[in-house]
Amino acid sequence: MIYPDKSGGFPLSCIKVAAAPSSENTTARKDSRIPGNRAIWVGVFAEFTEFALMFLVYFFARVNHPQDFHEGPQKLSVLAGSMNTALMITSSFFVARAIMAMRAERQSVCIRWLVAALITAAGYPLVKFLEIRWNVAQGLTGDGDVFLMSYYYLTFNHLVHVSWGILGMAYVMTRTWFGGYSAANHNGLVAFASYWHATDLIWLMIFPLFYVLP
Amino acid sequence: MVIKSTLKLDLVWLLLLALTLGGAFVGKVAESGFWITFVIAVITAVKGRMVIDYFMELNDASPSIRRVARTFGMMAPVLMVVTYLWGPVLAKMNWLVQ
Repeated sequence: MIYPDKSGGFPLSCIKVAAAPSSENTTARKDSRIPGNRAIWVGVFAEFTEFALMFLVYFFARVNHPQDFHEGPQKLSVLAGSMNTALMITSSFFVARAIMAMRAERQSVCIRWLVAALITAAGYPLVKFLEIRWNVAQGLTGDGDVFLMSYYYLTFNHLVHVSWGILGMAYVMTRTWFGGYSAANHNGLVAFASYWHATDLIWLMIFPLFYVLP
Repeated sequence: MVIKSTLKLDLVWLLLLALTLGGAFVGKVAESGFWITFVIAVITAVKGRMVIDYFMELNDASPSIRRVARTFGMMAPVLMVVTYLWGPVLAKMNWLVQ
């Protein structure tokens, strides 16, 4: 127990000097490195929790309606699902290459990778739009069976997260363009990349559940 | 050093694309069964792990973050196999949410 001294303050000895904030580039211990910043990981963990709950709902529905889920993937366009998977993976890869370019102090190359990532990422909502139009033409609407309901619910949620990501990507691209990041300090860029890769990871889980698993 | 890292990243990207196409093909042509479910689950887990370790670069990051991400990456693949094996038993547990 620490008591205040006569002046009402606390002795200096009880004050712990805060450690310098961990940084992507300056953290001494490699195994305690936090990519980007702590705040983005709060967001990413919230995203993981949200989708983990939705996966539980998916599997609960699957064991209760096995026939709907067995027939479901045959109704959907595996081409659209595969194209969106390829777009997400490729956009994620371009972002990873952008960070490597920034680390090598090649800002102009970094911007080129980010532009490529943005164009690829923009393909995702476009393919999704065409897919939904095709679905509706086939009579595959949200008021169909439980498979279709969970498909629309999960994929629309993911589309919302992709939309945030695209906005974030445009922001970091603009900041990079104006010299906001350097090889020594690009935590904001890494923080965005962590979110985008997490969104990619979630799609890699969604894809087999709806388009592949018989 | 940078060239080696970029080459590794390029290979991971190509492998992820190949696994996606391979997984989609297997799922399209194969009949439902344990081994197909198992293969799709393994492909999903491997792809997830590659994104976590190489794109997110968590293989040398904070162990807490790495553990959470890897657990999330294993959730869907494990549940694919579990619900295939014990689906009817789990369906009987409906009373838990009623």
